[in-house]
Amino acid sequence: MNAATIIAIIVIAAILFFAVRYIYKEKKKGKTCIGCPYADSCPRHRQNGAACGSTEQHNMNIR
Amino acid sequence: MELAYAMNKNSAGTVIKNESLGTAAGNMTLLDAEPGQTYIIKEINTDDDEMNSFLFRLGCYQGEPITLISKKKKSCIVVIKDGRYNLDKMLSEAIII
Amino acid sequence: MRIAFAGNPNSGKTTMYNALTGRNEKIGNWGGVTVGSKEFQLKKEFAGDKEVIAVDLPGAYSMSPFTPEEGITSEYVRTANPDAIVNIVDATNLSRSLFFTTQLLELGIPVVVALNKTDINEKEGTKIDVNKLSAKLNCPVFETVSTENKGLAEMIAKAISLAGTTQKAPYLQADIDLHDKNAVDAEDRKRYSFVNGIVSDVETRKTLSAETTSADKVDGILTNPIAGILVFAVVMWGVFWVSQAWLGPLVADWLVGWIETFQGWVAGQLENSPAILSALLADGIVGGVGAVVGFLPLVMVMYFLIALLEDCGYMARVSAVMDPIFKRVGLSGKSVIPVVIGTGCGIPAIMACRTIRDERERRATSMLTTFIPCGAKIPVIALFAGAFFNGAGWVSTLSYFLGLVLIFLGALLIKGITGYKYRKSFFIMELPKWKAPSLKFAFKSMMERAKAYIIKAATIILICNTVVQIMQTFDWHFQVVEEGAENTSILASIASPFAILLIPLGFGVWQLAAAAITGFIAKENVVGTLAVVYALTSFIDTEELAMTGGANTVAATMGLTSVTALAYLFFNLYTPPCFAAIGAMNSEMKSRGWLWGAIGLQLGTGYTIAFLINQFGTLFTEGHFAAGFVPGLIAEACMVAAVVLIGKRVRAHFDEQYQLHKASKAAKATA
Repeated sequence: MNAATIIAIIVIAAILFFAVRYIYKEKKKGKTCIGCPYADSCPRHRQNGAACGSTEQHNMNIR
Repeated sequence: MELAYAMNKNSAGTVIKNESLGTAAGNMTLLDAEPGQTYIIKEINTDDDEMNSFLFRLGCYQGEPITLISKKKKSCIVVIKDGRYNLDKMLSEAIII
Repeated sequence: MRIAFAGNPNSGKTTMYNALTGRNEKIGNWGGVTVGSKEFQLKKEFAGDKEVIAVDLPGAYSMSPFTPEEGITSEYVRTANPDAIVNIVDATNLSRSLFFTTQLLELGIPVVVALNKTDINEKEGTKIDVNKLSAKLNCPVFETVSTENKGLAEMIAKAISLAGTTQKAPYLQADIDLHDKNAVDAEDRKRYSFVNGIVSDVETRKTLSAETTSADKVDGILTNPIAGILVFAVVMWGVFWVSQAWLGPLVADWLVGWIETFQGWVAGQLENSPAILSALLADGIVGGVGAVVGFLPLVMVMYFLIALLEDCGYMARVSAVMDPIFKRVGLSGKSVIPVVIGTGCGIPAIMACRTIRDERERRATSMLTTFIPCGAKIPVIALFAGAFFNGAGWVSTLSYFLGLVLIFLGALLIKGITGYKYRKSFFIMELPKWKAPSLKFAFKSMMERAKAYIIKAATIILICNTVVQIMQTFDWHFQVVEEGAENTSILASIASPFAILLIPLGFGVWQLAAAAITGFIAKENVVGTLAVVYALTSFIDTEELAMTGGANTVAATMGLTSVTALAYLFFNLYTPPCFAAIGAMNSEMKSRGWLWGAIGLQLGTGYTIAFLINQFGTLFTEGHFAAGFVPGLIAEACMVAAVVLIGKRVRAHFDEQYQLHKASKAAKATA
């Protein structure tokens, strides 16, 4: 086992670790589609989703 | 109402067509109108209260001027207040001038 | 402290919000870009030491909502009690905007009016007496140009200083029974005449808005059913040609060179290490991700051009010209917006279907909109265009318009299955004033998306590539697969059964099947997986491919001809999109039946298109049908049968619903 091998193993482990951690964090934040260019403005991931998500939005009947 | 009418002349500026012809022209829809002319809306008849009130809020209601900019077989472009809108056939036919 | 931004659609709320908060929310020159509320802290230079949150709301014409986005706005200003409201008024359309303003002024919350787009007024010679308007409205009025940051600081400072005070309304609605339609109507009329009175007092126009201008002549052409669609086709072809055949590849070639050098260097460093490690790092991670990142310039250029299109006001004209066609196939004119948005990403496109009123139309649109190739499909298209069609720009244009055709056909099919109910459907679209697109904004939007693309490549795609690489390297006993025995790997044995199904389509090998499967996680994965399983990276380097024999070499490596390559490309484009989009569809459709119908339709469409292209393409080029014609035909027949069966069932159900109660009971009894 030479130095390059050890470095390679560490690099692979680190890359995978950070990738998985990033995805995990995003999922926790509620962003289900990682890297979606629209993730920030996607109505599906609004924090104050109650205002626009869960209510009877599909129904055009006006209160 | 008078106030609104006085306004029409002010903002639209052009001669209002159907008004000068009086009622002789009868009822016609936007699709029978001539491009470039301004008309007074006589009636909005979409059979859809929500649509009616939506048009109202754009300034498209009875007594208001509407200018036809261009028309095609299935749509037309109009000026309501100071905005330009594309209307489809169904909606153009629902606006009686 | 919270300051809400409210105003008519397309008055520039989000542009102002972006300028004040430093955010980069999506903007566009048409009404209804923002469909949900957003909030963020004001920049220090505007807020001072105070903590001020700006809330961007969707555009609304009044407090009584017509569409769901309008509902969000009126509900927010009514119930969330913001400390102040900034009412953005489109200065070019004062007479319409002030209707909403007078309603906001009645709420008691301090209002500051931002008279936006005053630069356009200056150009057109329209003058608005700000002091008079301010006196009439009983609130401060500021002239602003949010695209140039003009007047924003004073305006927002005033809004902050007013927070907590009470607004005195210049016009109060009479106490009427809000359920009485006529009374409400009369009251609204009174309000409008009040507004009209103000406007005639404060506004002097040089250019009358009702005059036909040269812009109207352009609009006349762009909304003409024949010329308009031709122009749209040329514009889209231009976008694809510049991004995928000219400027994009120019930058990409250079980038790919660097990536390859880096990959070579990594492989060199690992010469003495175990082969698995080299394969994992150099081929899997660097090679696979590199292949996807190599297409970044193409995607970036495309996003840049699309941002320019969205910013100039062309999109509203596209919706207008497409509306009659969409109506004919049983979709709403509003279905055009999701289709337009779908060029960027399918998920917001599916979300945008919410504005469609009719349930059937809404579900049909969200099920069909992903036929439009999204940004993630660009690398796949570019890969095949580069390797098999000499980087031709027509491949992506064709993909786009074939997607449109499939939407029409799919809509007709859905119309047939569900039994079309005649319904009045109105379409009204404001045609915003043309404006020179902002290069700065387009650049920002491009960089934002590039960042997201890189993040996606470095996370999801990287992990997928690593997994693919591992599955390819090992067999089920976790032994390293011998050279020449690749078919025993885990990946091969999982993908092979699927590959058999793909034989009639002309690409029944496990490598291609595996790539198509990983594509469901993210479409870019198709490229990544192909790079890994074939150990190829120089996909877009057409020069290099030409030197080594061009398409023939790739054809030999992948076992594809031009015909089967096209079939494979279209298969990947028109089968179901990524899982995220399917999830979005699920949450929008709210119906198991429709969701499975959508997945089935998309699978069937992808399969059918690929089948037709492969079989007839082969017939055309080689004079005989390709392998698996009969089995493919049987599969197609099964699909048709399934469609007919579902159609029958749905219609029976439909009839049942509309028949008298007795009849349905009788039917149940006999069943």
